[in-house]
Amino acid sequence: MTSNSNELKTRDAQEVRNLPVKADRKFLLPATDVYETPEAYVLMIDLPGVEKGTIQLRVENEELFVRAEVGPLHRPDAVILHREHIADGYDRVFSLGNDVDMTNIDAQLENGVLTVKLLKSEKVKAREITIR
Amino acid sequence: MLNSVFENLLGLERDLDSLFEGAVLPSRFISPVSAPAMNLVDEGREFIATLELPGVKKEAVKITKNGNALTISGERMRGSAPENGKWLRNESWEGNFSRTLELPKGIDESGIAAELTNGVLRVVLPKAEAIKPREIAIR
Repeated sequence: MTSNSNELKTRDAQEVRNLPVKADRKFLLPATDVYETPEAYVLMIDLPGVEKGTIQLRVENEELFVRAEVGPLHRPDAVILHREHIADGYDRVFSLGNDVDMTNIDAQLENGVLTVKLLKSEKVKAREITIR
Repeated sequence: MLNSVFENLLGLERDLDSLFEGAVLPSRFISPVSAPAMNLVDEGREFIATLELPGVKKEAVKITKNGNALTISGERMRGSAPENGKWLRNESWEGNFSRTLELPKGIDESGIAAELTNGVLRVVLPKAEAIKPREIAIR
């Protein structure tokens, strides 16, 4: 009797356990989309598997720091059969322009995407100039 | 090996990214596998498949079983910029996705369940009694 060949059984358990175990955790750069409006910059940062409580988000000297940890997806003694997502966490720094109002930043996490809205400082918002 | 391919492409650098650059996708973000990334583990009593689906709502995911093939498909709509908005950087993937698993014999099909939390889809594939690991007593 032959078993189905299938992705879930491509590796023998013993073979997987012999793969080197990395002690250091991998923090990767999260994919980020950015758009700009006359009033703000909006960043949408992919943080799949991240719990809100592990996110560190801070601005300092015109830089935006994002760091977050991915929660465990399975038990530590689980046998890994196939591994494509490898991030233990995410870490990235963005340099902001000098037109960001540092005191006016909004952040919201939904469906594993962190949306950060940075309002521009009053003085640089575009405005119409009336000609007398 | 799969792991070392990823280490080269998705570096650990902590460099400074300006909001304004990014018209070209840096190579370190390009995943060599078709999005979304999937992991498969054996937890003894069940198999678990996890897929990274950031920004995807539950209603946009479909899981179908056809014989011993389990297909997870759907669509990711990237967050849209408002009309007066201008994109500065686009790194995330969007569009239709589909991954298919070939299920081994011995899966308890009635117990297959899935949940989508924090942008990760977790599919539980319980093993029927016959293939669960068990101790064998020595006479």
